[in-house]
Amino acid sequence: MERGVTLAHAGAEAPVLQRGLEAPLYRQYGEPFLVERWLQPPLLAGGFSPRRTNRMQIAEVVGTVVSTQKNRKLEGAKLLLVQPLSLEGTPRGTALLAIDSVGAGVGEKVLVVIEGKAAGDALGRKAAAVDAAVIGIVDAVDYQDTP
Amino acid sequence: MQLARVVGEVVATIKDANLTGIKMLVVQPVAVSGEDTGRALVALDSIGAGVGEHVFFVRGREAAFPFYPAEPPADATVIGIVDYWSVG
Repeated sequence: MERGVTLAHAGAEAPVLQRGLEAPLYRQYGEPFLVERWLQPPLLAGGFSPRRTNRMQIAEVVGTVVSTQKNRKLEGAKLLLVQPLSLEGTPRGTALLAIDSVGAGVGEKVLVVIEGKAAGDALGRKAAAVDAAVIGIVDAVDYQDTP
Repeated sequence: MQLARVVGEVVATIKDANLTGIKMLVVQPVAVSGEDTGRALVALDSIGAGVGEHVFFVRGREAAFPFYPAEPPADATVIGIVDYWSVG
């Protein structure tokens, strides 16, 4: 299909596709699978917010937040205050709030995903208004500084 | 999500039609210590928060979700009022 080919060749432009465009594109092209190809995880993960590049981070749980009045999709969810860390283990940037999906506690080193779709998946609720989730507890980090 | 303090409200008469009836708040992100951090921003209110309250807000595309099926063009929405937070 000519249109399909055009879309498939839009490599350079592809990252500007956003989830919000999905439906209109489906309607326009009637070929969901082609659009879907561009909306695979790598693009979804880095596609629509170029400002935030670090999507999955190592962080330390520094506290908990109690909130009675909140979005109903968040009811029952545990809210953790997590402080992103550098590889050396020093705090980096501002602490953020993440949904807990693994039962992490204060003081633990965790893996935090900072992306809406992934966080919603971790919470197990579709279209939940969350943008960060704790998805793992880090046992150890092994890395080499030199190439 | 991020902790913030509501410091004001925004009134806009002429705005995107999908924003009709939605309250807009000026929120100042706060650090765990309670001190202000970074720049204040405008966030939609989905929960009925008021000036002086501590809240948390969601960023990005998910900011439109609380208003489903409406789809306001938003990139930050207050989704909860914080009773308290504890550190350590």
